[in-house]
Amino acid sequence: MNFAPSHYRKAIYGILAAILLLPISFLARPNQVSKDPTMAGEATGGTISQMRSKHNLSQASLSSIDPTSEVMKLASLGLHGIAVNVLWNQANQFQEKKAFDKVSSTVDTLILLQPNFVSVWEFQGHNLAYNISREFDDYQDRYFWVKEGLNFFTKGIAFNKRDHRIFDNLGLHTGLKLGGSDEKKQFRQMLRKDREYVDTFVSKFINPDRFDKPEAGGFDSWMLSYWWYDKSYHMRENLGVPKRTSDLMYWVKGPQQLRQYAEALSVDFRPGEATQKAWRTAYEAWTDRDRVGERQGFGKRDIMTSFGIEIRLEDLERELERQRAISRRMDELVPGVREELYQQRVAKLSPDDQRILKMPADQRQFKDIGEMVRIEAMLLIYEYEIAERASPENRVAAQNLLRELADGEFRRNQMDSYRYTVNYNYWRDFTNMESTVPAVLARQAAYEAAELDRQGILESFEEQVTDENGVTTTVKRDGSIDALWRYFQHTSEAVKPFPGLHDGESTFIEDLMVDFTKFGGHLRDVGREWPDDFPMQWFIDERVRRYGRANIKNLMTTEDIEARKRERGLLEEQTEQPEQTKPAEQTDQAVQADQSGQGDQ
Amino acid sequence: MVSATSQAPAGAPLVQTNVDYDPNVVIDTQNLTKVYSDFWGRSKVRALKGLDLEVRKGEVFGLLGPNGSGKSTTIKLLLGLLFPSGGRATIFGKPTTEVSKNERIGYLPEESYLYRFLTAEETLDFYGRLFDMPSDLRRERAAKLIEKVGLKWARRRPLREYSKGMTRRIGLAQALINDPDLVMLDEPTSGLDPLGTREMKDLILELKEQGKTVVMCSHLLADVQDVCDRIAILYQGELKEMGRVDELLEVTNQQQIRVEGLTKDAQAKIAEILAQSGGKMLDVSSPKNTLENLFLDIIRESQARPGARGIIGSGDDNGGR
Amino acid sequence: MVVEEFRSFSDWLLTEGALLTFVFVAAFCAVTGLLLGFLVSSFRHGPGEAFYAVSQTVFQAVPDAFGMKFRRIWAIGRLAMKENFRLFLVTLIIFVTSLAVAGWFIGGGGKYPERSYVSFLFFAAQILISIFAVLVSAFSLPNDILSKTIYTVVTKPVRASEVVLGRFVGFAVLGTVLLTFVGALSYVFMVRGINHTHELSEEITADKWLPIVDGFTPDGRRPFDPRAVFESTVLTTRNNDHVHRIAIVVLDDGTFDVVADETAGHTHSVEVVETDPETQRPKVVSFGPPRGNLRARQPIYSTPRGDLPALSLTDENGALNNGVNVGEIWDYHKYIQGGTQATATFRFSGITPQRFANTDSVNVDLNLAVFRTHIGDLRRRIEAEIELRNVVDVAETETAQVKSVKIPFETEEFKVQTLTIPRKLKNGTIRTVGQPDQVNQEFDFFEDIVPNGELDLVVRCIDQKQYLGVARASIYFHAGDSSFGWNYLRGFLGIWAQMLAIIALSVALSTFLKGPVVLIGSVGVIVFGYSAKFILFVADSVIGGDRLADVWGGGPTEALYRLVTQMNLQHPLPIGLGSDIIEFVDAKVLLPGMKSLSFAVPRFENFNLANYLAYGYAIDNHMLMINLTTAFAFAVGMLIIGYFCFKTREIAAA
Repeated sequence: MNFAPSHYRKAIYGILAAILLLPISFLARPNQVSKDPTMAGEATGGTISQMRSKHNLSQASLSSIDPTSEVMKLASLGLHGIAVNVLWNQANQFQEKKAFDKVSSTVDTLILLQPNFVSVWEFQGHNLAYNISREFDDYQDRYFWVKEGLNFFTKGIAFNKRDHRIFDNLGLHTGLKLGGSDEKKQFRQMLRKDREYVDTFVSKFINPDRFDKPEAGGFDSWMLSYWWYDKSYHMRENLGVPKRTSDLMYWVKGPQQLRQYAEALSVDFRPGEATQKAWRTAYEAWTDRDRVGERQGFGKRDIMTSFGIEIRLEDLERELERQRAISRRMDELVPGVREELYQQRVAKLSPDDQRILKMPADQRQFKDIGEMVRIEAMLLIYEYEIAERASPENRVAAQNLLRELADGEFRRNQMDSYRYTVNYNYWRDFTNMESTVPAVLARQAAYEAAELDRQGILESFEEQVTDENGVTTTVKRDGSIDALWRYFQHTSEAVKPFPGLHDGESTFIEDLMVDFTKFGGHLRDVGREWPDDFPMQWFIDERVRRYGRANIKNLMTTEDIEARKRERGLLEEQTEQPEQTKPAEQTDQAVQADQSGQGDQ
Repeated sequence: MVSATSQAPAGAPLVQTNVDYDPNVVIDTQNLTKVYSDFWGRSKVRALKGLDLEVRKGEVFGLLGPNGSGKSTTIKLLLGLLFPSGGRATIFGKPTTEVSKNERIGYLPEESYLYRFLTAEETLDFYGRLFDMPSDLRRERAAKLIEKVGLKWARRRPLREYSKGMTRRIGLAQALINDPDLVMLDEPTSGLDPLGTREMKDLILELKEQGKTVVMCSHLLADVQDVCDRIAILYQGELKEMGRVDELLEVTNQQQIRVEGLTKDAQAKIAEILAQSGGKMLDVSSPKNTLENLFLDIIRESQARPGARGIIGSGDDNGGR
Repeated sequence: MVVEEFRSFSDWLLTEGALLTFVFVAAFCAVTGLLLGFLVSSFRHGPGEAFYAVSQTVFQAVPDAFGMKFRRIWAIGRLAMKENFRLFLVTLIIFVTSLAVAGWFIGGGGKYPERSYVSFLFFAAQILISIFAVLVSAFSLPNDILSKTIYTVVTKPVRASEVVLGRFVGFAVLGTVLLTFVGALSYVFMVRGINHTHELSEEITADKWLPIVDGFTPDGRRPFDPRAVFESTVLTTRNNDHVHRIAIVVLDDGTFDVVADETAGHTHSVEVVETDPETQRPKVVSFGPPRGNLRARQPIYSTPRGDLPALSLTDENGALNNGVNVGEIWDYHKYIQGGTQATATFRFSGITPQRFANTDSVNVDLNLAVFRTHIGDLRRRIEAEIELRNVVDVAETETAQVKSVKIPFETEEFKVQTLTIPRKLKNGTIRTVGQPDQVNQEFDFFEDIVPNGELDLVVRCIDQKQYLGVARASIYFHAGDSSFGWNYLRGFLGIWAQMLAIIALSVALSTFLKGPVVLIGSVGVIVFGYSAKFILFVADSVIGGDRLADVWGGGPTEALYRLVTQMNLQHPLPIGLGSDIIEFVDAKVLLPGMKSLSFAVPRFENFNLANYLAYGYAIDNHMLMINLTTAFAFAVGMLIIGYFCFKTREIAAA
């Protein structure tokens, strides 16, 4: 093949093109956003993509224009939708066939084609973290795949700069899956020392020191999830990102994580001053001031309700106060009418009802409480009935008051129902109670009891202890029964100021019931009876009084104790001390001393 | 219709041994018809109607006729490029679809359909291989042919850079690569300059001397006249006339005498003699040289002595020959 | 690796009737060809003439077949190669640039980088070669005929068979050269892409060595190597998107060694550069190249013995059954319940010393699936055991000694777990009928357990209420490794076979169709080849009548009807003549036709053997043989069709 001049020219052009290719490829190398999540936002590509990110050309857009994803869209030659369908089917089939690495590589290609659909990120991230990690038997594999899911979300951050749901999901999955699944003990244990994961995938977004808690033994999953939510709040508060979820369920997340952190801390480690501080922070974040994220607490947060009015959960008490003030003004306007109507209504009551009405509140039995609800409804006096009886010159003022009351009524109903949805009152009282000293002491006692249970030591015993200079002294060691006794004493002291925690159904009450039964069981194991002076006997009695004996079968109420005493002859004047001695009252300082130990189960 | 064979100088006629195959009859067609039909088989064009033809060995046979008279169709039928709609045709006694007949045939198509990305050498080498020739024979034969068709200077250039004349020559070269016994030339001289035409004609005569049979079809009557022994004239697919060229062209009732040194009165005396014997003097003129000869002499002269040359017809000198 | 079907070449050819189908299809094509030819020519020239023409064409086929000269074939082949050299270069350049671009997409990342590499490279090679094959052969002959350059060839003593075969040989050679370039380039690209090394991210001071306490590291992880004594918290640098951990392990002879863990399918050799004087623990180490990836394991799978299946399962009280279904959609794994008599018996034969790389220990590879019904102790893996038992032939079951040895192990799900069985086995038992069992016997694996090369491997799950999932391919004897390069080459053989089939197909079509039509025709047949399984699936379920079970929307005509009337897939067809016609056409005409057609076209899906390479298994020779034979048979068939079409075609009539 001899080369005619036309061939030479072609060869020269070819060489020139090749030479030109070098600078172009250097300039135009795409940004590696899609592959290495930690470099999200930071340009690792050629000069052009670095200049693009330096001058924030890409930041302003919905997502950083990732050339690799653009190339993929181009490569699908417009059959973008079909390509996506095929990939979704493929991912499902691979998952069915348990080829999980293929699933994650197919999903990686999928997000190149659909980078800005948040629901794609949400679905596949959840899929990796939950469905696929569950398939594995070994907890370390499960841990790996949960992290794969989380890393998947971190990749989504760069693509969805204007959408806070990615951070919400990161918070949700880090919190619930790492901190709240069956394997939570192992996951949290591994996360504490997992510097590689934190440095590679998290340090880019959150400063590791924020969730590296010494008292929690290292990186804590709940604090990490809090800070993911913090990033989302930061977007909403400062970047003015559009709202994607309802206010109530959105602003509750942050404080919720703090509460979970406190709970986890008290279970995993020996409760002490650190847990008390954690509960205190949780309480404040729940009510007025989130000290960790330096923002309004949940209670003080303006929450837009579905009826279009803004309320603050904390303001309910003040609202009630205002309503009572208005009622009083109404009474001043129309003196004596309220009392008169009330008496009329009471007169109409049946004698039985009147008896129940007169009975002091703490005397009413379970069925009486049911009746009281009906009676109160009958005695209800509406403000307009009073306003009608106003004298002509006060009628206008009365009407104004009525309207004010009506508004307030509407707002209060909203607040009430929204509080009910997030169980606001309960959690407020619970976190508050937990942050008190007696509660911490109770938790310490519970922790020791659990430890002793594990070792199977129920009864207290003496032990010969020789200190450094050879002096042996007999020391009295507590059994788990004594520890439980102390636990009940402190709990009783801690719970009393919070009536809200006594009624209704809650995990706290359920746990208490379990502890009572366990205590009763231990007593039976060592052949002792239910004590007469049980510290929380009042609690049991009240439960029985208010809710009947339905779910308190094997526990003794005060009546049962008195009945037992009657069987055994006259009621002794002075309740006889149970054999074991009650430990001395613990003071505040002791709390600090106790928390020093840091063993974990 | 058997007519006397032309006296072939080389390769005397063979003795017929096989009853139904006379080796001297190279091409034999009986009632050969070709009807072009469309996809559904409906006949459209009757290209050839009932052609009976016989070409004997060592003869230069011309197929004449205007465009679309069936000349090319006949050649394609003979070569097996087309399937006959009716009748039979045999070459060297074998049916046209028989492939082995091509061993002894050379074909120069209308436009020489050659592969434009091959060089002359590669083309001849390729066709040589198709004849299953060993490589040394191929190389030697190709070099000789390239020399012969005068393309030595352009043998390494791909055919796409060849002029029309050069392509015709390489086409001819590929037709002769297998030293064929029968050479079929389709419009061999069309598109050639007079020099090329002359060379083509000389070549055909040379083939004839070598005892080869040549069938050529053309609409350039002058060329056919110079070269062919026998011709057949086709018109609208039908054979109108066939026979020896010299016989056909003979104007039987006229004679032509060429003399030198004829004086005026001699001329008058001849006229009287003719009148007495009942003949009639038609014309007395001096024969013209053919334009072709003039053209070729000039070219040859300028090839011998390049540079400007006195123009004959400029009117100033007294005219040459 | 998931192997769903075990086909031996001879079974496939004979018992599964591949040969029969081929003969049937060939005969069917021959008859229809002749009939068609006869009909067409009799339509044109009347029956008498037609019969003569057809018989003549057929008889001429014989000399055409044997008269072929290789020099002529090679001449046409060379011509075809020269003609398409430019397309060859363009395709090669496209492949090289696609490699460069691919580098950005694949990257070294992911759990098993070689899987994404191999699947991408094979996919690219297969697509590119198919396109090249179709383009090169689709336009060659038609252009030749169109530009009439064929006249000078056909008027030479060149048989139609030589023209067709010449072109095929030319393109095959060109394609093979292209394939070797593509194969070599992709191999180098992959090996270079996967090759990497690591350094330590920082020096490992004494306190960075975590002691392993009762089987767990302080931060609750199970050490990656059971022999580990210390594990370092310092990790390697992040290269190719992954990091390694390193640990100090105690070898059997008491000496210490430093090893790296296996992530992303490989590990690295570790040399200690500097040791900490006091604690004698390594401070700085250096890492060698990746080891353990790019493998080609040669498995010996279980095989049926007589009429006993390769794998048989028993339920909790020992009765034969099909394994418990734990609710998975994909029924590849069959589950046996732990703590009961449920067993899975794998029958092996051909276990002879010669087949094993080193005979002082035998490796059994397991990929088991685990299904926990209750969490149990999460930190402890499910316990299971395998029992190796010699096979006694039926006749002397009474007298023979059944020697067996049990090997307990911890299951590792979704990993290729290797159990090394020493040649000298302890605590075996000998069981003879009517005599007490002789326990803790010493056995030699080859002499005692596998005297006749046959062996029963029985798997039991020990943990109560937990399930172990097995499939025939999940347990095999790991005879040894063949070289990855050779395996890679055989992978490309699959693509080569497909290329030949496609070239033959396009050349055959190009003998009687114009260029673009050939292109569409070939691409159509290729797509049909790729989706043959799906078509068979649709045909079976639609013809089979239980349509609601699998396929929505019925056959082609019904689907068209639904498309046009925008009718939902689940909506039943309106009762009436129209739907009956539609259903008739689908079930009786179209789908049976497509079904039989799907037998005529080779299943191109099977030609991509990348799966074996991705998972590091030697390509099963049988699978390769099946592919090659299918491709050759198809190519020969197509070339014969091409020959007859070209022969009966009037060259000049175009």
